Amino acid sequence: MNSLRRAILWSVLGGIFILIVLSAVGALIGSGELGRAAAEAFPGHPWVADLFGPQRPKELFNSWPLVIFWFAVAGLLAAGLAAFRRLVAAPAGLAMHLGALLVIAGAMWGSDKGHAMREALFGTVKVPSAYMPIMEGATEDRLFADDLQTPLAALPFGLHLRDFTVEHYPSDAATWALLVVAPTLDAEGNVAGVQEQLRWRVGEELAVPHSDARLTVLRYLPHARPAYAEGVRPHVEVALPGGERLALDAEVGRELTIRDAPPMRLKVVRVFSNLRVLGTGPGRRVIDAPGEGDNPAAQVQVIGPEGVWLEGYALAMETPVRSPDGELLANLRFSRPQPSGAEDDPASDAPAMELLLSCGGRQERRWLIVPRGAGVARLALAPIILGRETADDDMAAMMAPDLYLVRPVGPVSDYKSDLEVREGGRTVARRTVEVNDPLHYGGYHFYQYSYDSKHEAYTVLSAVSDSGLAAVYLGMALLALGAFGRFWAGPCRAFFSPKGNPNQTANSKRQMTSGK
Amino acid sequence: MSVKLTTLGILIYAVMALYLAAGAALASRRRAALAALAVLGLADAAAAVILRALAAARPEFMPRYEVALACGIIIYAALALALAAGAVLKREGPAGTVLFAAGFAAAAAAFVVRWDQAGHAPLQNMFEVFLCLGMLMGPITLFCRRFLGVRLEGADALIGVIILFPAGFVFKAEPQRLPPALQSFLFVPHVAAYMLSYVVLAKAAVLAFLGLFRDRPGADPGALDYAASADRVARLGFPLLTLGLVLGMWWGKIAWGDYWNWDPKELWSLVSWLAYVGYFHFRYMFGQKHRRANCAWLVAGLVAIAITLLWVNLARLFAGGLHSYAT
Repeated sequence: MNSLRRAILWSVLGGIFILIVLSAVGALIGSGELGRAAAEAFPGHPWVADLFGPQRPKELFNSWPLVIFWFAVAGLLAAGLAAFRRLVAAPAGLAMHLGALLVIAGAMWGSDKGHAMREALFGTVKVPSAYMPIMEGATEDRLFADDLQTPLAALPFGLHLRDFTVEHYPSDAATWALLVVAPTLDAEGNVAGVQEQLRWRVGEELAVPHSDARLTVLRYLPHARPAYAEGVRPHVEVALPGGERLALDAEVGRELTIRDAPPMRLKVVRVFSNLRVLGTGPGRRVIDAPGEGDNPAAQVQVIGPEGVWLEGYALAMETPVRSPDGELLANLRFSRPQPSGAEDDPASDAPAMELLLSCGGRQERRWLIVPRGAGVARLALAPIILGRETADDDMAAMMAPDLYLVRPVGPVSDYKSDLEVREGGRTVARRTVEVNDPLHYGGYHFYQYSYDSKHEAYTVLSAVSDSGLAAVYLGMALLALGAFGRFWAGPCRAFFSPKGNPNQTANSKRQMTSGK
Repeated sequence: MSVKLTTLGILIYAVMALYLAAGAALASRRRAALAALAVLGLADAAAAVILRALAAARPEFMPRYEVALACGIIIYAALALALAAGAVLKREGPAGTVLFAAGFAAAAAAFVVRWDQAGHAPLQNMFEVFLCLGMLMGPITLFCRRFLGVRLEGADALIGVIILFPAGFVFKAEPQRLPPALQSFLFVPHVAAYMLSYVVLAKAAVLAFLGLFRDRPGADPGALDYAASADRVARLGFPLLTLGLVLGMWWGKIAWGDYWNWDPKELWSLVSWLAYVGYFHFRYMFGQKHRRANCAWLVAGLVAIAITLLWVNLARLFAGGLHSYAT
């Protein structure tokens, strides 16, 4: 081995040693736990804690001294390929070293500094990585910084979010969870809530945490619907301009025919427990968020002789419905009486629970009834705890705990963003982005990154430039194939040759790989 | 420390007992090893009896039923060991290999049971990973013996026991559902490639460790020396380690947006890979001139693997990394 080759090999060993040490250091400074421990150990020296953090290894390996190191590693690989002819002659050895070189070159090309260099030299503007928050029904073409507010660049195409969903594994729990949520005041007077799950059994009396009340679950109906007193049902009150008042049962598909001029039919197309409007403009969406509030409503179609004229909403307050030329057709109001209880309904996915509540010698039977399609039902305990009716601004009532019956959900199984790529006013691609299944378009990969955990009304995608990726993928493939070719192919060939036996195999392999 | 009195736990303990017996039967100093095994079995049984008596006298220290379960398991394991030792002591022949194969069969059964329990390939958490590693030890030993001419099966059986110990007594065995990040076609090949490489390279490191002190097993000058054996096994494991790394990078790109995130676990896996890259370059430079230095590289490689596999997950020192679900 001549001195040049020996020098290259010693340099390679030195480079490997340096990279091992740097990787170990990177693993240490990437530890958040270690950072917290350092902050506690050196309270007067915040710079010590600043040495640690999840981003520190990336910063270290992308710092200018390390950029020089990576160039040196790439140079060593190239020098090795040039100086060791046997390496080039052996396909597997060539593949391994060329693969490593390609991975490093591709990574440098796709790094933040690589993007900045191309922008400075060629004026190519491409953001290495960014984020895209998109509301359901909206189209977004801007890339944002990690604060999701600072725009970084605009794409020549837009991503339209058709729908975002979170899927869960089924829960192992047999019944819904009964929770007590009690408001608390911290030292600064801020209100927070503490939550406690009750372990209940039918007929067993329990203390209600954070109060003097006690409760007994009298009945649990796993599939239930609200029951009303005779002749009382949720309905839409229809007040016609002539003064006549009619009632339309608030059930999907129910119709009411009005024979006065103009003749028309009113049809219930959707019933809401808690109507909410998300967004504005063309992307506006109306959703039902049962359990999170109380805004009962019904969506009503007004159907004339030629078909559907218009649609309107019947809310708790009287709402006018007008024809396109402004003529008042009717005033609608949604009326939802208090259910008297609940009854079994095999078709329902919502349970109900009858409770006996007691406090200060008072006793009351109450129902916790989950609206159909909802994930939660709430019962305020203030009236039984305070022994009186309460108003909205009653501070004592506001500080009393509430009971919740909550659908048990298993862990999250998937996040899905149903996206369309829109370019030049038309849809050019459609794809559902989920974890492990990104969208690749226009030089970027788009990944499911975050989401609106409360209403699932928006998603946050991360956009990552694909610069240099092809070289990295090719390098990875060459590296793996080269490793198998270098270390496995020879022994396999020798073993399966007609004269092969384990000892011959071993000897031939030793000769082949010893480098001597 | 926890004892698992489930089908899975009993299978794991049975594998450990069988591997122990196989290790003793396959060891070069058989009679001494078997005697040690029998003593170990008796000591286990005595410990169980003492533990039970103590628990009866001071029940406040430990719930009585837990003691009973623990003692039961210890006694069963001890009986299995003593029976195996007795059976092997009486006859020469392929008893060690048969015991090893039986251990593998029991480990494979445990793996299948776990797969059924979890509803997915059981490679998600540390319990499952160590169960898989323990299962792989048997076939890898037979492969090395048949195809590479590398022996020392007794040590392999003991490696199997050491690997299975945390699965049997330390890690929690509750099955978990796969989080979204792990639902990928790369989950099984990435983890499986790493598991195979880890077991193979552990065998290489044990051979290399012995090579630090002696040239070859026994006095037969024709026997393959430890350093050469370790080299053959390392050459088997390194491509698998590379495959695991490359598949991990590919998966990282698909799942997280980048093929390299500078996560502590990634960095330690790079250290592991670089240790073997360094070994092969060093050996290319010097051949067998510095045998002990060659062996030291391979032992260092296993230390890096152990840090990658265990320390990152268990020490909580690097908690919060992208791989934190793998605890």
